[in-house]
Amino acid sequence: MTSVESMLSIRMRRHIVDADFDVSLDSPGVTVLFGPSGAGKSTILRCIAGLDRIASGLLALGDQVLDDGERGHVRARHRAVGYMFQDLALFPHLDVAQNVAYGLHALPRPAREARVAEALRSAGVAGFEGRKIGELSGGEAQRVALARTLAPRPRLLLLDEPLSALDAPTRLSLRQELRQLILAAGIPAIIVTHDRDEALSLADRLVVLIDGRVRQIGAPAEVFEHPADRDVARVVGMENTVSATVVGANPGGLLLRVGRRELLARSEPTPVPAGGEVFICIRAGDVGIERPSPDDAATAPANRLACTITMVTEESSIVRIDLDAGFPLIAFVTRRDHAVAGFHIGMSVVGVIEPSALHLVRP
Amino acid sequence: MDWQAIGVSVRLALLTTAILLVIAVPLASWLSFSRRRWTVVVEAIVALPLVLPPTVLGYYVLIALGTVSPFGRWWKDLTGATLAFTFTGLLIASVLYSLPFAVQPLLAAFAGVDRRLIDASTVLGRSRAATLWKITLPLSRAGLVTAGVLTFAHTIGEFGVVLMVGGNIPGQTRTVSISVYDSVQSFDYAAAGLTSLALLGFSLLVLTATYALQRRGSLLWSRA
Repeated sequence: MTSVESMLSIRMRRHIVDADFDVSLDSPGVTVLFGPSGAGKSTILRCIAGLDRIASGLLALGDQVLDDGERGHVRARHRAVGYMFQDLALFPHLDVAQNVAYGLHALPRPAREARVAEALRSAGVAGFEGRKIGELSGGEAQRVALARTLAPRPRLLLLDEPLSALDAPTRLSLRQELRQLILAAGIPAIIVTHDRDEALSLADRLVVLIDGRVRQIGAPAEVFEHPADRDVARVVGMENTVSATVVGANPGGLLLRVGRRELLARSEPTPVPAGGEVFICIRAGDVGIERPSPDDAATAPANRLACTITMVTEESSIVRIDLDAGFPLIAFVTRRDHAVAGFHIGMSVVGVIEPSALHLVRP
Repeated sequence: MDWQAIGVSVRLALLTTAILLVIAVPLASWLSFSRRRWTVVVEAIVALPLVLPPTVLGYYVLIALGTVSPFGRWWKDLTGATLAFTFTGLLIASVLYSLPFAVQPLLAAFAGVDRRLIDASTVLGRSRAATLWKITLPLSRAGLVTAGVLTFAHTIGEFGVVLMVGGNIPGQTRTVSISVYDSVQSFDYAAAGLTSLALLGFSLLVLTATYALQRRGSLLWSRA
C-alpha cells in the first residue's frame, strides 16, 4: 500500500476538466494521460505545474497542498516540478549550456557546470554546451529540452506531447529511449499524449481522459484490450464498435446477435446475462478478408461473415476497406494483399474475425 | 546657431530617455503580465499624453510643481528651491509627456515574446524579475531600442509643455524648439533656419541608425 506522502492527488475542475485521480510517486514510473485533442490533458498538466490555477478542488503533492482552488497556492517556481513543453520552449537567445543551466541558478558555478555536463551526457547530447539553439536538429533539441528539465532534479516530471514536434523516424527512435532516460533519472513522470503507439510504449499506467473526465485507469495492455466503455474503445483504436444482444453462452464462448448476424466471442471478464445489451469492439487490424469459398462453414469457430465492399481507401502504409456485413465493418489490409486480391467497391468477400478479437463493453 | 539651446535639448532628451527606460520596463512588464482588471485604467493613464494637448498637460504639471501643490511644497521643504521654470521641473514634465512613447513599444515587444518561454522560465524556478531580465528583455531588444529612440526624438521635439512649464531661460529651459520659435518671433530667420536644419539633420541621422540597427537585430535571433 502506498502512503499519503508519496501520492500526487489530483481533484480538480477547470474549464471542461473535472478530473479525480492519484499518481503514485513511490515507484518511479511513467503515467500517461491519454485522450483525444481537446480532452483537457494539457490543462491538467499546467495546473500541476502551477502555470494555471484550478477553479475548485485540491491538488496535493504528498502532504503539501499545491492548490486548493481558493487562496492557497504554491507558486509555480516553488513547486520543483519539471515541465517539458510541447514545442520545447528552449530559449533562442541562449546557448545549450545556458539553457540547461537556467534552472540551476541556486548552485555555485563549478557545481552548475558539472550538472550541465552530466545532464547533457545522460540525455545523449554530451559536448553540446556551446551550440546555438537554432542550429540543433529536432532530435537534438528534444534531448536538450529533456536535459534542461532534468538538470534541477525535480520531484516530478511533466511532459506535454514530448515527441510530437519530431519527424516520424526520429520519433520512433527516441520513443524507447525517452522511457529509458526517464526511468534512469528515477523521477516519476506524467506524460500527455494523444498518440496510441506512444501511450502503449511509454506508459506503466494509463489514464484515459475524454471530454475532461477520467474514463479509465489501468495498465496499458489492460486498457487497450479491455476498454471500459465505447468512447474509450474508440480512442484506443477500436475502429469498429457495434451494439449487440447476448444470445447465450456456448462451449466456444459467448454467442451474440448483431442485426441478423450471429458472432462468437471468447468469454470476457465481465459476463453479460442473456438478452443483455453490449457493445462489440473490434480493431480494424483484426478483421481479415478472404474470397468466398464453398467450405466456409467447416472452418468454424472463427466468425465468417459474407460482406460487400463499400469503400476502398489507400492510406500511407495500409489500405482501409469498408465493408457492409449487415452492419458497418472496417478492415485494414496490407498494400500487397490489396494488390493481389484487387479489392474494389461492390466485391463480395468474407470477413473473418477470431472470437478472441471481439472485445465486449457494457453500454 | 543657438548651441546653448541644442545643449539643453540634448541633455534633457538623454536624461528623459534614461529615466523613462528605468520606469517603463517594469511598468510595461506589469501591464503585460498582470491579470488584474484595473491594469486597463493604468494603461489609459499612461496613454493620456498622446491625446491631451501639450498645453493642458503643461498646465497640470505647472500646478503640480508649484508651491500650492503638496508635491511642490514637499520639494521646496526638501531642497529650498521651486520646480517651476527650472531644468528639473522640465525634466519631470518631459518624463510624463513621453511616457507613452516609451511604454507602447515595450508593450508591443513584450506581447511578441512567446509566453511559453516565460512559462518555461517560471517552472525552472525563476522569479518574475529574473524572467524579465533574462528572457523577456533580451528577446525585446528591438522594442527597447524603439522605445529609447522615440522617447529621445519626442523630447527633442517637444514645445508646448516646455513653454508652459519651463519658460524660456537660456541655459536652463530654453530648448531648440523654443529657440527656433524665439528667432522667428524676432524676425531672425537666418538663426531659425540654421538651428532648424541642424535639428532636422540630427533627427534623420538618429532614426536611420535606429532602423538599421533594428533590422540587424531582428535577423540575429530569427529562428530557422
